[in-house]
Amino acid sequence: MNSDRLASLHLLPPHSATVWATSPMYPAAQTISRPDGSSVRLELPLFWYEPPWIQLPRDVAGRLAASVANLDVVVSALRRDVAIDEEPSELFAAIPADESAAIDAAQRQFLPRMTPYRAERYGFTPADFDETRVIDVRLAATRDDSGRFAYSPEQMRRWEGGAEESTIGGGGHVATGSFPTDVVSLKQARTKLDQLRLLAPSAAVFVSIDCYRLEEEIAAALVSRPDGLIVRMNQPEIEGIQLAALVTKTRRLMDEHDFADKPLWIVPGEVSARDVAKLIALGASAVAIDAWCMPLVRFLLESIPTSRFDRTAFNQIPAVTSQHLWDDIDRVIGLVSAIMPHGSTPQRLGTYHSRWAKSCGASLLAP
Amino acid sequence: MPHVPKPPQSAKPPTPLRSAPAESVSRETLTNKTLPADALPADALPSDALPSDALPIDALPDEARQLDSTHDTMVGFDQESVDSTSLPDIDHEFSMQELFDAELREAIRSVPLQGDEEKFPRVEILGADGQHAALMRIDHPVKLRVRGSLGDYAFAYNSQTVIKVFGNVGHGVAEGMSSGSIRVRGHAGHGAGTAMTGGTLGIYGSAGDRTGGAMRGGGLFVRGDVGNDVGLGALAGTIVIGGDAGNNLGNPLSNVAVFIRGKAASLTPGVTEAPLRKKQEVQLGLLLISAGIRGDATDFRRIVPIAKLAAENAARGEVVPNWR
Repeated sequence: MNSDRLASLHLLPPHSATVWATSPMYPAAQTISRPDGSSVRLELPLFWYEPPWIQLPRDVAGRLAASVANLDVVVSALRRDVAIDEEPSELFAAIPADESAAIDAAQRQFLPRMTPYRAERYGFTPADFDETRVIDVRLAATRDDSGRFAYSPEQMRRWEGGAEESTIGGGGHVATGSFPTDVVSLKQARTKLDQLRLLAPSAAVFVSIDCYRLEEEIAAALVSRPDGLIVRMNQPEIEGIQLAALVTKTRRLMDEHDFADKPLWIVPGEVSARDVAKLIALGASAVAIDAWCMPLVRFLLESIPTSRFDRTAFNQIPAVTSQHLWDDIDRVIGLVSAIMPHGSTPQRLGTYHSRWAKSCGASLLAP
Repeated sequence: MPHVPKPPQSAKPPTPLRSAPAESVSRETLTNKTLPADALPADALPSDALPSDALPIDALPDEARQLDSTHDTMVGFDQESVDSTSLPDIDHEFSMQELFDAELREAIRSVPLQGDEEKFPRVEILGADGQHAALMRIDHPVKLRVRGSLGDYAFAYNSQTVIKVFGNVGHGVAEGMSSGSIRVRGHAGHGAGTAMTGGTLGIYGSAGDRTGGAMRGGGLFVRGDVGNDVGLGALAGTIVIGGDAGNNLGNPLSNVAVFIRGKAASLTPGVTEAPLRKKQEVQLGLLLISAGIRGDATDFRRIVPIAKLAAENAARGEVVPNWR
């Protein structure tokens, strides 16, 4: 049984008449340009958008985050999600260099990380700006697991309660915001994004929005001239055909707003490796793989012993992570290498269903 | 004076991050607290619309300066300028017109500290002319005096530094500040002190909407009036309002202490006004002295979540943090 959400779409091979042998293998890596002329390089078109760090102890969350990032997947986290302020964090530390090589500070390498810049900035510290690859300015309110537009008391304690995780805000849920309190209008938000570029000189500044009221939201978000756009399409109600249509429409709207060359990152919910490649063929630049990482979280929740002295599961996290994710990641790399970077959707994708062809512009193949 | 490498004249800081200083101060803040932000015209506020104390003292005529010196706010501000914790003379002088922002921050960070930890080196910043995102993320114990007005997001994520601005500031001043102090002689735009976690922010003029939004600690003083939604999303800290407030003052879900001397157009549902307790009177009195604001703490009322007040009345508020 095929569980792909975009199973009705086919990644089209080149025509039989073309000389396939000399066709290049397109790299999965991408470079994002900043207005100041610098650029941010990302090795894979994959990211973990909303990890449930609060479900894991800090040290386990930190180890898992670093393990996933070590596979070149961009991982979203605040420092306080994965470590207390004074503690070192694997995700935030420089990658250990070869002892024989003398490397100065400018050449140090860091794991790929994205920083959620929420409207309320709860839990945010200045260290979150350092060496991050992407600042994700979230312009849409987030629901917690209970469905509230709120942060749970546990979440607030982790972010703001310090090492002892003391009670915050009277001990109840704290409402989320959807627009920064220090931004006056979407036009003025451009100044905010410029500020963030100064604070995080190594990062591209993205804006993330929901996929509802898409035309309005995209028009509004792009007024602030971000370096890229993240669209959340991970609501369980969204079907595969709607997902394909939404990605197509988002890319079209970006083109209409002179944003054709800017990256579009999609948060699609449950997807397979083939789905990821098809979303990229539809116009996405990167795709969230939260659904692939959740089994790792569940595994760790079940296997973490109550004894703090038993570190077996903790020490195995990098190996387990690699074993669980690598096959899918490699499949994405392989499929993406066969997608023409500047090809149109009908050149890249085909379908035997007219509804699908109509929804996303794929070639209608003979039935 | 330290040697600071300066770029050639042709390499002046880029202009896109600059605006006229008054443009950053909302008309709403100065004229009508109930106007929605979108109703504000995009053009700059004419300088004659500003109260005299919004301008740098040097810019005022002699007569106005004399009047100004009797104003409690400015007395406090100017007395604090010559306090004994700073060295008597200017140790360093940098111009925002001649240095790029990154160079300026690096120059400030490289100012050598004195042996005496109590005494901060004094640094004069010239050429402030509405630059946005200026002097951010400085973590160095120096005293900065900024001559002129700054644009949006000045002093974001600063710590340790003691700053005085002889002018206005735009939106989001002192975002995420964690320690030290920032005192603004003029007015501030919207979102002053957003997400600050510590230190003291003093606005000696008026401030706009959402002042103290998402505050997580520290103290915020506004000598004049504030706009709507003050303390929106704030978790902790202290907000002191010397004048009046707009709509939706306070936050029912937070531990932030809000004190107001004037009137609020409306309170957020779930909060109420209450008199200060003795302990808070002492606490506020000290804060007012620290901010150089004349007045009696008993002139102020506090805005408190109803649930928290009920917990306090049941003598549980201070020992049971789960008051909700």
